[in-house]
Amino acid sequence: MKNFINLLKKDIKEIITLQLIVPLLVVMVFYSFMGNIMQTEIKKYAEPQKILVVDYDKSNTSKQFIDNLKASTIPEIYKENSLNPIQYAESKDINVIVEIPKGFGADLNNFKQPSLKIYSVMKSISIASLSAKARLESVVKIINETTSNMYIKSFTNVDPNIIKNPILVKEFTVIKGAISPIAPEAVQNLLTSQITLIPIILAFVIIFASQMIANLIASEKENKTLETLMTAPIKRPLIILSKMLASSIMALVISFFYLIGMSNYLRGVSMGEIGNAQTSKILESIGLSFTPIQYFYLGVLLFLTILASLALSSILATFAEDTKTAQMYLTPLMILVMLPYFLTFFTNVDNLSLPIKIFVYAIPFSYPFIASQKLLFGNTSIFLIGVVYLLIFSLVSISIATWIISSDRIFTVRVKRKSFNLFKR
Amino acid sequence: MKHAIVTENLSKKFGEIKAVDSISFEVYEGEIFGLIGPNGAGKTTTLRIFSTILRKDSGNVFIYDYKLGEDDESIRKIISYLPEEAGAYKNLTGLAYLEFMAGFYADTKEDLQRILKTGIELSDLGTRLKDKISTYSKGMTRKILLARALMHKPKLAILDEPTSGLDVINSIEIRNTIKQFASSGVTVLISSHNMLEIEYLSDRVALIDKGHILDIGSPAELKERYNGRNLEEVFMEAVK
Ligand SMILES: Nc1ncnc2c1ncn2[C@@H]1O[C@H](COP(=O)(O)OP(=O)(O)OP(=O)(O)O)[C@@H](O)[C@H]1O
Ligand SMILES: [Mg+2]
Repeated sequence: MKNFINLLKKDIKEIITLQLIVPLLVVMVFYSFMGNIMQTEIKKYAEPQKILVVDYDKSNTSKQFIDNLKASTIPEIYKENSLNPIQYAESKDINVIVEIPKGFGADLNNFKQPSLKIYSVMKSISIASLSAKARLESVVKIINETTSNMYIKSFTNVDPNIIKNPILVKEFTVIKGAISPIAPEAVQNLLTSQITLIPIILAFVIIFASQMIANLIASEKENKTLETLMTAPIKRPLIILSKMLASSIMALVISFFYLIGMSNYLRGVSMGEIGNAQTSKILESIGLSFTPIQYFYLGVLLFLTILASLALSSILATFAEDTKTAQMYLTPLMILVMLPYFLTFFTNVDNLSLPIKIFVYAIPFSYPFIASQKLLFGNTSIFLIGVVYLLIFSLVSISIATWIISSDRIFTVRVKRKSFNLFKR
Repeated sequence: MKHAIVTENLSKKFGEIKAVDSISFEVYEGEIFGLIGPNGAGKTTTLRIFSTILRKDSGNVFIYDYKLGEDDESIRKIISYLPEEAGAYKNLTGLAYLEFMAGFYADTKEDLQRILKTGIELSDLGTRLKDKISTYSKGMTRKILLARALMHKPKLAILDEPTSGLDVINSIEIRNTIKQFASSGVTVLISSHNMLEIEYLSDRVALIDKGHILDIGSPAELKERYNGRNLEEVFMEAVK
């Protein structure tokens, strides 16, 4: 135990280097910076936008129309001056110009479908510059709606709504047998905003942990410290186990920092939409948020997945002579982590063809990703399958890793590099 | 006299290469025993087997009362090994490195302090111990590694080319340290292809070439037997 703690302290010290801390700080600063920018953009979006109205009609109808715009925008009426409307709008930093043509009111009253011209001044592609137009359009839509209702009423006695929508659609979503009066798209939207974070963090933790342990092991070889360590009175498996623990602790710590940075960013992005608290309330009411026990299941799966990836990375790293080679050997592993991450992001694994499905389920890293989807829908068998598979996988890999370090393989196994020397005989 | 090492017909192959080919010798407690031979003779392989790093293919080795391959954990408690090409953790300071390694041999805080004190004296690095090892020169690194290998007073110190790559002054300092340590009762098994160094240091010497032991004896005995002025001449005679 004393020896293990001694090793662990050293391994953690080895991990905490400038190369680790600097990128971490940069990423955290970057995310909160991005989050702030998004927040101010979205705030701008939420504020009523100025628009310039050029009224050539000057009728009662056009005045009413402009009054209606006041509900969601700040209309400014253009008055004849030395600048034309477009120049004027640009000088005042107004992005949207509405032109009401002469005869607008009269045409409207006589079913002549008058035109309304909307000019958008585009200076950049930002959310705020498009929002003014969107608001304006929604106003126009309402006016269209009320006017058409007015027309219909003047011809029949039937409710204009029924004439426009003879069939009424009512949407429900069925989740775990319970029926909720919410459209599936809405549920989907809420869900993605709620659970995108989990797979990202999963992928981060697994990748960080693998890289750390591979570096720890390979640097013992690169710096020629392993031989000394192996002649010290330590149980050999402790050498690997302490590196596993050090890497997983540090991977979790780092992911936690990334999580903070990223949630700052996501909070910035989702502001203005439904608030976080409200989202989780809706999801909870339809049974689509993780219960504590489901978080526990996910935690167990994540733990076992980290274990499996650590063991696998250790085995790969023992073949490397230095840290650079070790990182190279890890590449296939990284691909195996990213694959289930993207697959679960874009599709349901069960809809894939059988061979691909088998392949995905054979990848140990798939389970926390798949489970984070399936657990929500009450499927706990994925948890049990995952635990059994990951346990077996980890135990086998850890045994191989400790066997390599306990025997003299780590000094005698060397991946042979073929040299293609044409001039050599 | 008590034996520190008994080796009987020890062999080790790497693929087709017979690195060590059925060698036998004994090392007595408290002596400095030198292993000399040219590059590729099998010196490092032999020392790595004694240090429990490599597994022997055949033969028997006893280190004090323990049989190699059966009681390796107990062997590791009483030996120390200075590898031929060793390094230290670049991220640690010299002091932190000594403390880390001392931690494995100390049972109490007092033990740790005592071992650490010996290590600090042996390293002779003064205030540079507070600097990171990545800033050390080759000689400084070698000194701290030697201090590491000797500080806990192992019963058997296995040193593979302790002075390789060092200048004359550093080599002499290290030789003196080893000699002093041996006189305090530590058995030392040392390898080198610098035969003059071995001649100066060792009580007894084994000449090794291509995995075979050619002869064993004290430097004086060997010089007489082969009629050489120094061990280099002795070796040249012996391989004939
Ligand atoms: N890990 C290994 N894998 C394959 N062959 C090895 C390995 N280690 C040593 N050998 C081979 O075993 C033989 C003996 O090598 P060893 O390192 O024991 O020699 P040495 O006497 O220490 O030489 P030097 O004075 O150059 O250090 C050499 O032919 C070497 O190529
Ligand atoms: Mg050697």
